[in-house]
Order: sequence, then C-alpha cells, then structure tokens
Amino acid sequence: MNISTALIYLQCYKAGERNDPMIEKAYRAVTNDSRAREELRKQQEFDERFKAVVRAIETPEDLQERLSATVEKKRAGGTKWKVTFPAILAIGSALASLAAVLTVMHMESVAHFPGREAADRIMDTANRMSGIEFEPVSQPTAQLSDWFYMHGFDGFGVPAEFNALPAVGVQVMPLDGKPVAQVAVDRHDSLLYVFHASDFGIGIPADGEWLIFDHDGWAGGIERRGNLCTLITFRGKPREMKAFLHTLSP
Amino acid sequence: MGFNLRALQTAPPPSPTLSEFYRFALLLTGSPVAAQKALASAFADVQASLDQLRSEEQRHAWLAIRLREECLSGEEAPAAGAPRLLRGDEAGGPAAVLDLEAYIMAQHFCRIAEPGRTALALFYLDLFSPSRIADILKMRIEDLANAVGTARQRLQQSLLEAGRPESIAG
Repeated sequence: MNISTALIYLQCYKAGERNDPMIEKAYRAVTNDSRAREELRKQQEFDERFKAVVRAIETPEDLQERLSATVEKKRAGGTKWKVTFPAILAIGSALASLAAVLTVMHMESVAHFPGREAADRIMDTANRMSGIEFEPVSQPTAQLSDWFYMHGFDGFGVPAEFNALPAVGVQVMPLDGKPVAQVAVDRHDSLLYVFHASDFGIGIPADGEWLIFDHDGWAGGIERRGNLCTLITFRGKPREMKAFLHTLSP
Repeated sequence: MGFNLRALQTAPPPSPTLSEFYRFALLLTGSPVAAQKALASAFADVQASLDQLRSEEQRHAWLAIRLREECLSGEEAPAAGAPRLLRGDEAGGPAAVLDLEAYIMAQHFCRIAEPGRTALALFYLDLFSPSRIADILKMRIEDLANAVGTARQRLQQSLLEAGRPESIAG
C-alpha cells in the first residue's frame, strides 16, 4: 500500500483500539514515513479533543423513562403522539453560576455605577435559565434587529465591533416588566445582553467606553451608547475580556 | 455496554449506549429536542423488528439507521444553517444541562454535509467499528475513510473560522 492510499484509510484510524485490517495495514505502511506519521498525530489530537467534548454531553437522567413512556404511548395506538420531554440542552452549567456582582474595572477600574443592582439582576437571570428559552439562529449579530423587533424588543443594536459576531441562540426575556435581548454568541462561549439603559436606571456614561468586570471566574464588559446598553460575559478573566474586545474591529 | 430496549422502563439512568445514541442524534440535528423526538420515534419503530435481529450489534446498527433517517427527515423544514437548537416543546420537569461549549460544538457539527456528518458522528462515538459504519452507510471502507476525512476537515475549518481552540493542530 502506498503512502497516499494509506493516508486515506488512516482517516478512520483509532489509536489504542482494534482497527479494521485495512486500516491496520495502512498504519503499518506509514511506519517509516515521518510526514505521514506527523499528519496522523495531528489528526488523532484533534479527534481526541473533539471526542472529549462529545463525551461530556450529558444525557438527561430520566431519558429512558421518557422514551419508554413515549414509545408506550405510540404503541398504544395514539396516532398523534407528542414528545413531552423538557429540552435538555441548556446554555447551562456554565451559566448556572453566572455571578450577580460586577466588579468593574474599566480600563482604570470602576467599582460602582448607577443601576448596578439592576445589572446584577440581569446577570442573575442566567441562574434560572434552562436553555429551552433560546430560539436557534445562525446569523451575524447585526442582523438580529428584525427578530428582536418581532419578539418585543424594539431598537436592538450592538456596537459596530459586534456586528459580525455569529449568533447561535436568541431570546427576549422580561425583567421587571422590561425586555432584555439576550444572544448566545459563538465566540469565546459568550452571552450578550442588550437592554435600554433607562429601563434599568443604568447610569454609565453613554460614550461607548467599555467597563470590564470580574466575578467568580467570569469576565463581563458593559458599555452604553445613547440609551442602549450592551453587556457581554464569558468565563475568564478581565484581561481576557479586554483582549477579546481589542480583537474586535468595528 | 449492553443496552436492552425492552428494559427501557426498568432501568432508570440512561445506559452508556443510550447516551451514545442520544449524542449521535444531537450531533446530527444540533437540537436536543429534535434528538429526543428522533430517538423516541426510532425506538418505537425498531421495537417491532427487534426479534428479527439476532445480535446486539445488529440491533444497534438497525437503530442507528432508523435514528439517522429520523434525524435527517426533518432537515427540509428549517432553512439550511438554521437548525432547531434550543426551542423547548413543553417545559415540564427540570431541564438537564449541557455545557455551552458542547452546544456550540453541536452547531458546528450539524452543518457538515451528509453522509460525512453521520460518518464522522459514528466514528467519534463508541458504537461501531469503521467497517460496521461502512455497512450502515452502505459504503466501501475506503469511501467511508474519505467521507470521515472530508467531514473532519470541514469541522476543523468551521471551528477554525470560529476561532475555537479545538481547531488548532498540536
């Protein structure tokens, strides 16, 4: 078997496992080819990293019972069966501990600001989220204004540097009777909140300057332009948030 | 790793194999709700056929085939690239939790074109050998290897574009 053919078969190679004879043969064929071995090593590394994430996907404890009930219902002759499982996927464990307190750093550090308690409550909502609240989307954040308008949040907008961020889940959540737009962002596993500053008495300067926060291993950044506030959070440190914001170009 | 479909009602926690099938459905659909619906539907359908299948591996393979059909059958409805992800049907009991990272990974994965998506999903799960995966997909083993390679490349590219660390070669 030549090297190029071997490399094709080796796409299915599983290290440390019993492989199919053709794949084992392919593995032997590249034994003395350092480039091919290096390619295979990189492939295996990627596979291991991805498999670790897949293995971490939790299955609901009651899945079997729920499946059983559904199967029984369907077998009993119901022509219209309905799955009643709660949605499993939650923007979850990560969010469960999302902190209520913002330690503001701005570039120079700000400990308090008017409306801080309201900002705390907005971040607290993550503790009550199960994940089913999100509507799936797949588009740049800048293109979400129609969706939010249709779902009760008027005037959605983000700073120009956020325009291209890929949104993967959206919802409008009411807080104190006021709407807050929330976006799950496929960058740095981030959550983005947009809300009207006047609804929550947020009194930071409306100059678009970012204030950077830190609490319980989470980093947050908040800014205000006009009456619109943007709050972004992810698990990490303030310096990571600062670096992240610097990487975004308007 | 035994998974007895008939014992669904009596075994409270999900078996490792059931978990693998759930992950398989999640990777194909990108949606936990769609994954559960597909699982329930596939289970209900294969139950009647179980007696005709002699070995556990055959039953698993049959379930994988039916589950794949269920997962892919709903693909025409939503627009491409906009999989149903987190929308709950009826919020009932407590929702289990999946890490945001896994959620986002599933989004990248479910955008891979078929049959590479199924090939790679089965390859990453501990359910079948490559030759059995080739059987399930009615492919030759070399075609499966090509499909896995192409899908892996697509996944890496997608993760790379998203700036995810998993995409970085060591």
